[in-house]
Amino acid sequence: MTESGSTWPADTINTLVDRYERPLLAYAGRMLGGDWQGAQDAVQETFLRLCREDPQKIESRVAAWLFSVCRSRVIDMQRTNHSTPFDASQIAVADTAPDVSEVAVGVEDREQLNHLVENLTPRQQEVLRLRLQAGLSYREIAKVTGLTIGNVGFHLHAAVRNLRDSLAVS
Amino acid sequence: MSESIWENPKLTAYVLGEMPEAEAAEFESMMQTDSALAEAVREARGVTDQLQVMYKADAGTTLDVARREAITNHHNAPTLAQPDEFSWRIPMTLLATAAALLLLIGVPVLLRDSPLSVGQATGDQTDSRNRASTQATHEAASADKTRPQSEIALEGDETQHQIDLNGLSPLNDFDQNAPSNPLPSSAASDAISIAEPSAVAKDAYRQQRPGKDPNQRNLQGMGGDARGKAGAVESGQSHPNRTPNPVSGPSAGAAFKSVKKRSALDGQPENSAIIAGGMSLNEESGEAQMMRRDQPADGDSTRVLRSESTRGLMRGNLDVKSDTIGTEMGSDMRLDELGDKKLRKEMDDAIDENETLTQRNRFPSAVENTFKRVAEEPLSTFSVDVDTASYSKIREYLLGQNRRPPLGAVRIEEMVNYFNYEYLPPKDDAEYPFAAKAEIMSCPWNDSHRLARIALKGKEMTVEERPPCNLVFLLDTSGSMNSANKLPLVKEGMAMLLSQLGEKDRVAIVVYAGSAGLVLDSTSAKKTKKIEKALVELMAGGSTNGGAGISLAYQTARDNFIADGVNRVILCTDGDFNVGTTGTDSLVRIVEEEAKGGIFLSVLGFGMGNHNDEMLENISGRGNGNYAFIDTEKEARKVLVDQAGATLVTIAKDVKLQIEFNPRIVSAYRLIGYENRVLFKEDFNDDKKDAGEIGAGHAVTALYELIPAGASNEAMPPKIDGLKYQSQPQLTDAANAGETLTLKLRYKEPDGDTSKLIEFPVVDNETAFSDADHDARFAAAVASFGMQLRRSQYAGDWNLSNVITVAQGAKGEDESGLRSEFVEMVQAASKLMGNQ
Repeated sequence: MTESGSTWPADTINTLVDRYERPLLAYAGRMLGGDWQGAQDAVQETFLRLCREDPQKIESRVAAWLFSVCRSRVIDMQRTNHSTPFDASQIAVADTAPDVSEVAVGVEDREQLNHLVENLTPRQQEVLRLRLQAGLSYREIAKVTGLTIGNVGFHLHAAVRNLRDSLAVS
Repeated sequence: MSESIWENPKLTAYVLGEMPEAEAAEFESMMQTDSALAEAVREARGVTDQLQVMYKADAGTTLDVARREAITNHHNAPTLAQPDEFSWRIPMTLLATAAALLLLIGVPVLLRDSPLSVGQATGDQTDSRNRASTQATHEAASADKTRPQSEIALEGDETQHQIDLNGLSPLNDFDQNAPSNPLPSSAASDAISIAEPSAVAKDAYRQQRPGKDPNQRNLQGMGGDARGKAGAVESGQSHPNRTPNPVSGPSAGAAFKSVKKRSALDGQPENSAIIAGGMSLNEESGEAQMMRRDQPADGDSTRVLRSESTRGLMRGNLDVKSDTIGTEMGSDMRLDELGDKKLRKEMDDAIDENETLTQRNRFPSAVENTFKRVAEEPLSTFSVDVDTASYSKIREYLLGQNRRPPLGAVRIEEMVNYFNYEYLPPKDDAEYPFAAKAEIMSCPWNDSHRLARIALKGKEMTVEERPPCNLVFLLDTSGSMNSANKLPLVKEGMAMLLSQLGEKDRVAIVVYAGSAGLVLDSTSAKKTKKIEKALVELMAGGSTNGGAGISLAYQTARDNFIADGVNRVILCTDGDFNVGTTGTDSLVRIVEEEAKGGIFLSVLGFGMGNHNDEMLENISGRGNGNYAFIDTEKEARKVLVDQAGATLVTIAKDVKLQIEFNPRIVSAYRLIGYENRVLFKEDFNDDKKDAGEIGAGHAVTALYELIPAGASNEAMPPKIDGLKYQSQPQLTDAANAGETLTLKLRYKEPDGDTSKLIEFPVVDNETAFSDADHDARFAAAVASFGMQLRRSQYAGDWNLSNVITVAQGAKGEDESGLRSEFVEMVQAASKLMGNQ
């Protein structure tokens, strides 16, 4: 009773899961190169950690917190999967894993765009997703990825520019 | 040339709305002249739009049902271990472990296949169990290469995970309608034999303190689990709380179906699913609980099961104590109704019999507090309420529309608190941020009774003292706002408020109609021209989608968060608030969550009908905010100029009052108004229990009608019989000290989490009503008017002309003219109600 506020109300957790499970799963899934089961593990673990976290500490920045934790979780998993130590900045390399194409279903141009996105650098893919799927602000993306805000802007712009160029060509 | 434009990251920043607004404006003016730039923006936007569509399609997957449940239940678990004063904390852990071991059995099957395909395993249950347990052992021993995490994490989280899966596995038992003994591992059985006594202990605990303990809702969930487990081991064991009844298969089948149905929901388009998801998850956990309770197969009726799950649902997810709610009107009443709706939805899906059960917790909206005997209920507890919406709404009915307000619209405390009383604010160096005072006078509408007035006054704040404000206006610009007393009044009100703000304050405007949009990004309040321009351009049109608007408003507030300042979303609406298919509870959750993050919500209602009043009051209360109804320019001035400090700056939150009456002096009491703010006595010391906020300069008045000891009176509630096994509590020495009551008050600092307690006794000085100060008399007149509007049985021997006479004589200075207006209003009511 004395530690009031140190646990989450059940409803809050439910709301947070509902709000973030999709973008988190997509994010983790891509980073894990289409290992959706692994993504489920990572996201579950992320939410379980959220439950243990003191709400007061992170309440004002839940989105950034969730993606940061999920990200390091994914990186840990990559480390376990590959016996060689992994450079964090290289982590999204797995994105280009072949089985991704199985997942990409839908309209033709969406598939085309998807393909183009996959040709972007891992970093660009990551910031794009955090921005346009998870709806994080530049500032929040900077927190998650450890980049500076300016750097986030740079990568996003490079991504948009690349895609625009490729789309113009095709 | 045009390619060099693409060298600049600002292009993307602009398209993504990340450019600081001054720069964006500059950028826009450049676009006007530079067509290549405009073209580049168009192209970039084309790319991001396409990407957004792609990502949206991409993000369809949700967590497995089992995993989601694992999260929900894991989250419940730490809370379970919280109450230190109970010694079964350790057994609880053992219990969890035991459950986990036990459940290893069912888990792999569920994990492997879709959790919902459990039914498949039904036919060959024993076999699948065996297989499963083999697999479990196998998996625990050797780490699975593809998914090493789930095994590695086994100690903590996975324990919970396993427990939850149990919620589904009993289906097997149930479908077969046969008790089973799923105990392949001796380790598990050992653990369970330890766990069992603790389950019994918990039941004892429950019975001792039925439904009143704030911890209980958590305990209860676990208690249910424990019983389930124990029952699974010894299927003959019965539970004292249960009524033996035949097991009915079909209803469990129905419940199962509804789980399926809901999980299908998860695949729905994002928007509705986000909101609906919260509900469905809750419902699922509720049902899982229900099914868990099915497990013992010791002859429970579905009726009992359902009612248990009902309670579990409510207690777990809605903080409602339905055990006791039938006898007391709690502050949870509205929540309870929400719960009821939710529940009913579930019931409709799953079971369509047994309507009575679902209706049990529904309350009429115009319930009144009754007299309570001090001997039986010496404590009266409630939350403060500084809302004033009810008063202005009544005024709109009586003076604007010449109609009698509906009974449900009359909230007496909001009427009384509408007026500015000359309560002395606390001194600058005072220990507490508000002054509290209480006095007792004779009750004007019943000679033999006394009337106690309790007054709180928040400390006042000058403009200079006010911390910097980060305000986000969330304006409803839907078609329904297009009338003179709505959007134009909103604009006027905002202009008034802007005049009160300084250069350290920031203002942003978000609108919602067909789609939500940021009309004005956070701007220094000094840039009045710019803000005014944005205001002038506002138009009403389209339908309302409040949900998206609210998210955007909170996002904007977060992005411009001022650490030591006021961060507030101000929702201006006529209440035609459409948040999608799900109703208000998910909205309430968002609001509550943001309030904890330091962003409070205020609601300004404009020219609305009565229908959404309750919801607006609810979300403003949950969002640590206030709710005012603005019907005229004058009212806008009162709320946004004269009381700007109170509207903007919260000086104390979760303010609760508890009054202990001295049975030697008072035999019964009645709290006038505050019906939807009444708390359970246990809630007073529970810092987790939300209550009302007080803004700078706010005054709060509460009135109690007291029946003195010894006065025989027909208003007295019937006495209950003396207890057979207990004697009456003895009066203490303090009871002879001549004090009528002791006032206890708890509050938290706006950013604090631990409440502070103020306590002082109040003595009746035998003041006659006519000798009381004019504020006291005026407040009594307003309360009496409210009671008469509500046709209260407690209105006593006063009629409206008494109200007019007393109010006339107690107007005092009345600089604002509000008290004169009150008199006019009563006169109007008097005509409408035939002078009585």
